Amino acid sequence: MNLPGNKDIQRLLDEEKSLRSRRQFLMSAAGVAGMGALGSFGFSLNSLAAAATLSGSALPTDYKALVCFFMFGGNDNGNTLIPSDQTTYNAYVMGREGSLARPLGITRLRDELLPLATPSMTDGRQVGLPPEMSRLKALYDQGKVAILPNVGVLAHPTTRTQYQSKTIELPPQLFSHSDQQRFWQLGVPNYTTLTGWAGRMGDLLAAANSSAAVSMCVSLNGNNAWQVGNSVLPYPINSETGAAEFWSFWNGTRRDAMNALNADPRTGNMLERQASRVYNRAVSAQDLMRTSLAAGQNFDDLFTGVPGDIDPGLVEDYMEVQENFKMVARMVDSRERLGHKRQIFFVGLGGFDDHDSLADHGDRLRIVSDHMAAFYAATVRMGIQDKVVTFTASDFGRTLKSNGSGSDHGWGSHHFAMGGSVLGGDLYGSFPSMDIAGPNSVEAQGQLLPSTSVDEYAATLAKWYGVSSSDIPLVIPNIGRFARPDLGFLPPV
Amino acid sequence: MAAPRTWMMALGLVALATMAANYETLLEATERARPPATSTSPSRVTANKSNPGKPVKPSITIGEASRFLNQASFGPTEAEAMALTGSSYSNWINNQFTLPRASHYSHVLYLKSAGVNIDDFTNQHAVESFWKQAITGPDQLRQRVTWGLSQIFVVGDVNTIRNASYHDLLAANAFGNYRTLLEEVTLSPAMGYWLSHIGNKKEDLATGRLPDENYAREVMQLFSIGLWKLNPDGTRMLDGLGKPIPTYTQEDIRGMAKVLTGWTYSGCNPVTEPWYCFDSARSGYYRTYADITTQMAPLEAYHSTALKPIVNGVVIASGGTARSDLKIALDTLFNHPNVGPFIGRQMIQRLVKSNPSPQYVGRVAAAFGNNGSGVRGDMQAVIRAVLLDTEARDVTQTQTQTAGRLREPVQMLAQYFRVFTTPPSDGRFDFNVWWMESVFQQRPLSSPSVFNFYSPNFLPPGEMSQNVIYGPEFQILHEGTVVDAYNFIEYFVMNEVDGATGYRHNYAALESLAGNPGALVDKLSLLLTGSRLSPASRTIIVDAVGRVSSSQPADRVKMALMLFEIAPDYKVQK
Repeated sequence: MNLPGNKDIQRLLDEEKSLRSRRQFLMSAAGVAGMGALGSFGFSLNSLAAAATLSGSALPTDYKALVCFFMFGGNDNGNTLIPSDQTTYNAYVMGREGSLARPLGITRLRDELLPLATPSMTDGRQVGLPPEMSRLKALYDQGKVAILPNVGVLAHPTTRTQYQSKTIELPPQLFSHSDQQRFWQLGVPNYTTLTGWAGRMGDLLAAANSSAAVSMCVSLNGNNAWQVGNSVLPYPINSETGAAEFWSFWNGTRRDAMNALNADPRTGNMLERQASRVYNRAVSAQDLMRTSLAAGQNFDDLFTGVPGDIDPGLVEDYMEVQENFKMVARMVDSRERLGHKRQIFFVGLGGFDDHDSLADHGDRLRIVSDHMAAFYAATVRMGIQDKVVTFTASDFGRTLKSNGSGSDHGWGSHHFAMGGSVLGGDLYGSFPSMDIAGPNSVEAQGQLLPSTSVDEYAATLAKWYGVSSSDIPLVIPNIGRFARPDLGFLPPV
Repeated sequence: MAAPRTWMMALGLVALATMAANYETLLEATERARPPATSTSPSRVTANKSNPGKPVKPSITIGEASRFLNQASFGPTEAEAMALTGSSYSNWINNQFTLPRASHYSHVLYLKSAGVNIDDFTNQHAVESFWKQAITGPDQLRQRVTWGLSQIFVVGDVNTIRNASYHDLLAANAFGNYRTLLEEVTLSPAMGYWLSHIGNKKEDLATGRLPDENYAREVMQLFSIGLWKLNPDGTRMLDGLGKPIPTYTQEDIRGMAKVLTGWTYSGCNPVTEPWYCFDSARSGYYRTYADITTQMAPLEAYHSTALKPIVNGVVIASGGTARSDLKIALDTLFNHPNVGPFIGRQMIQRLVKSNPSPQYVGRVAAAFGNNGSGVRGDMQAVIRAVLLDTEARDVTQTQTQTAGRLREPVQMLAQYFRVFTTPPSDGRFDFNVWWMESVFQQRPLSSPSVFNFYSPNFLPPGEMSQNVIYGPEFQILHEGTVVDAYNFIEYFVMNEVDGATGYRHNYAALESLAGNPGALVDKLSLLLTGSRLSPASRTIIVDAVGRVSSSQPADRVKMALMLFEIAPDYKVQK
């Protein structure tokens, strides 16, 4: 291979500079790291991840992991955290159904709710979880789960008046699945940002890992925007095998030819280069993945199969999420073999778009609850429950008002953060009013106006994860607009 | 730390730039020097009989024919490519427009009459019918276009009967008018169930309940106009502040949701059995196949007669009927200037390339706007515009950085079966193995959501996302699927699996070339890539094939086939 001359390097540096300004990279190191990915030869996802040296985040020496569970489709907040005192419960039923008459349509019965102790709620209102979330509720009672009410994508802190008078910038395309999913994952509601907030954390911290053969950003749900950084890229894996093996590699001739065909960068076509890079990343990770996973535990006893009384339509989903969390546990267990001090996992489940099917929503939440709890048990077994935080996300919440058999697209929604370090057993943020004409709602059907921004939620997680306060704006660029860069559900680091 | 990183970056870029330049030069030279792809292909320039001395438009080489048929079909056999060399692309398209359509629903009923247990809970036998037609149907243009439409007007697994009937609907309208297609999609009971506008009741003033907004939103966001006002070339229109302009508001969604009230099973009686018209229809229960295969019918008592603001400032007056309101709403969407570029760009992405130029989108959109006879929405005009455009046909366009599209798994599999196997004699196409979905993240007629298996705007992480280059299919081709997907295809290439599929390898023609690895690879390049395999890839595959014993011609064929399946020059259809 020919080495570049000084002139070439200068030209490339100039090009890089212009690229940087054109794309308005948010991070000081982003341009360099970004071009690193461009110039890398595809044998690893993040071989050049060392941006942390240019920032204020010291490289960590301990282990930590973040696990995002994304509820695709927009989780129905109305039936997730439910008022349990009689007065507010009645307001909930009136808000959803417009009547207190039985049958109640899509509302849950008050008798079956699991009431929560909520020290921070001092206004006399009480809330509970649906009975299907008993396992997460038990962890809440033990102080391992915190609840974040009414979180959503915001461009600025926003009041109902500002929303209605259109006097403040709003996230574009509110209520659209694809856009709001993306904004949640980017951590900033615009179309110019091309990286997600997990990826940007990865850019800062990936150098803590001694090996980059397996990316620190591992996805059990395919590609996603959240884990895309400038140098760190998501590594989607298979939940059953972790990394499958090319059958044909037993044949040396075939293996060599497959590798040669995908030697990168060989072609002038960007799509072909991408196809080759996907191949090369899979190949370069597969040996380490297989040996690491094979040497670890399987946690089968903690994930105990499908309960007999779950909605039959959800059996497959239940098994899928179970496999995904089991694999996350195995990857955490393999952290030293993988050379990982920092890991970020993406797990997801679809089917929350309950326009007409809220009847099975409780069982869908059971999938979330059972597997988050089983995963927590796995971290306890590994003795690192204090080093792993699992949290939920979703496109948006849903309308409080019923459309007859379900609910429609909303905005703010309630979320859960779980881990040994989580200062759980309470709500962080204010539980919204059930009055769809009140200050917490916009539009006509009780779409919640978020009182906590995704920025604040993400910044709290990022700070715990090891991003220095001065670097938080690199990860969450709009954090300065919001009052609470640390919501307090995690301890100071 | 910074210095070595910068150096590595620079090194990478130089290597990339140098190799890219070499490749372009190489391709150019190859193109210029390329002999006729086979000895039987006609010369490129023929005399013009009516005007001797003046050359007519060059006829089609077999490589060009194959390249065209890789865009317009599930992949040509050699005979099909050869036949096209003596014709023209327009003639081929026009002929395809006339071919009769086979019914998926009829196939399913045939299976049922033959004693097959038609599964009411999954779409297994509709998918079987999909494969049967994709692989053996002579109406290949319809097959490929309908597969594309099924990725725009998406319905997931809603059971065999609904999926078979719905795919028939798409196929029947693939060469018709978009306005009819939009209406039939809207009133399809399969779509009604999938996006929950079946049994959608008008608003209730007493409780404040409003109608279901699901279909109202997605028919605009995904099936017609999209989220942003577009220029005729598909780029976003900008307001005075340089910001893109949304096409509709939440108020418009509420209005459109009211338009879509009162529709349910054609065979239900709201007086004697309201539960069947509403609760059953919404939850999926049905009594007769007719109820889930024939257009939904309106129940005026459940249709909102309120004033309905919809898009573009149109307000539907109060007091209309379900049908009259729907007509205004669909006419409004149909005539919205966004439809041509919005649907046109996606048809280009499904057939030709992921990153069409604005000019290309603009030309297809113009054909949508006017087919030449003043008709808007003529799908035949759109298809012609997509396939005959210079950006689709000009072979030098394949050399640009962003040429082509990643072949989706269904396309790769269909092509393999079409070109290299003999179908089973019993008319069954029962290789509809369940693991396909988890292996490929794709199974025909089974998208997990209305957003399809992938987004038209997906940015593959890395170089492509950094440069805002789209690669929809890369959303499902990633490090977690690439190995399993390859092994899946290998299973069929390496083994004849009579019991499961009844398929036989049809490698005889290839085996006869196996003594000459170069000829074998050129033949596969012709069929699979339209002779676009790069010289470097050709060398690698020829060399590997040559290492397999010449006494094992079948093994040589399998080696070559499996290397094509992982070669980036095949994976990206250019």
